[in-house]
Amino acid sequence: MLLNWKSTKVDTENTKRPNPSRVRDHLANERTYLAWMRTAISLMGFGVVIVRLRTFHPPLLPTPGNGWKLGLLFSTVGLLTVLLSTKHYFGVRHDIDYDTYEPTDRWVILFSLAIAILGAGVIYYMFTVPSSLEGLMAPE
Amino acid sequence: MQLSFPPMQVDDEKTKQQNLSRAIDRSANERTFLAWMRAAVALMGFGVIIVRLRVVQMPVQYRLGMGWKLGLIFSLIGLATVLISTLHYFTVRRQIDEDTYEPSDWLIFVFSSAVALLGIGVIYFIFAAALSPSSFVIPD
Repeated sequence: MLLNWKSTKVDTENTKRPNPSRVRDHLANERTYLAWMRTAISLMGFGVVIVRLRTFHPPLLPTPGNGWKLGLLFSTVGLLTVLLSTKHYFGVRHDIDYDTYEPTDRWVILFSLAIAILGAGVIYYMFTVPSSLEGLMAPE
Repeated sequence: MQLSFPPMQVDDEKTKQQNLSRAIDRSANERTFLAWMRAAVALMGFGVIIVRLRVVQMPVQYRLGMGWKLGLIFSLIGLATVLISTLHYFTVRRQIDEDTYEPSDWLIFVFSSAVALLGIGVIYFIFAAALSPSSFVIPD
């Protein structure tokens, strides 16, 4: 009885569940990936929204504003986020399976920098918009 | 009694531990499912916003733009995400119950590819919107 019990214990611990929180860790990794992807989707969506909002600009203004550049920047950061987060997901997945996971500050700092640059772009855009709003009212 | 009791207790403790671990895994799976749903909702929401913003310019511009298609693609990818992630949720649930969980890679790969293609479409759209002359001079 005791021998039998011992053998089943070894069996379950060694082959079935080497790490009791393995499933949880993988699922948490998947959620983190999805959170990155949501951020990327938001960035790309706002990129489109910024460009589409450009249509509120004065119809007779022949020069393109800065809006499309800002939209392009948003979308490019979003696209890069998709690629890097996918790469990151598979890296962490490997680390979980081999129990060598170390949290990385690199991506967080890089991403913060990117969003800070976008924020600076948005503020710059805000200060350039009022003049074109005046232009919108002038022809009427 | 004395002989059978200790293994019984340990076994009971073990199943209790396993049930607890399983419950945590199941709720982690549910959280992951909800993260997938949020990603899908973000995709569909941006699809609607992109299309709605097009409607604002409808009266002055009858040209069928790219924006409409882009919004549709966003929404379709969102809808596909809902269906696929629901199936994935039930698959993982069964795998947790059977102790055969393996993290999915094809799902992540497909989703990343879809969103990356979407990002390329967005960037193309922004260039098309910025560089086409008709988007700056709207015919009355």
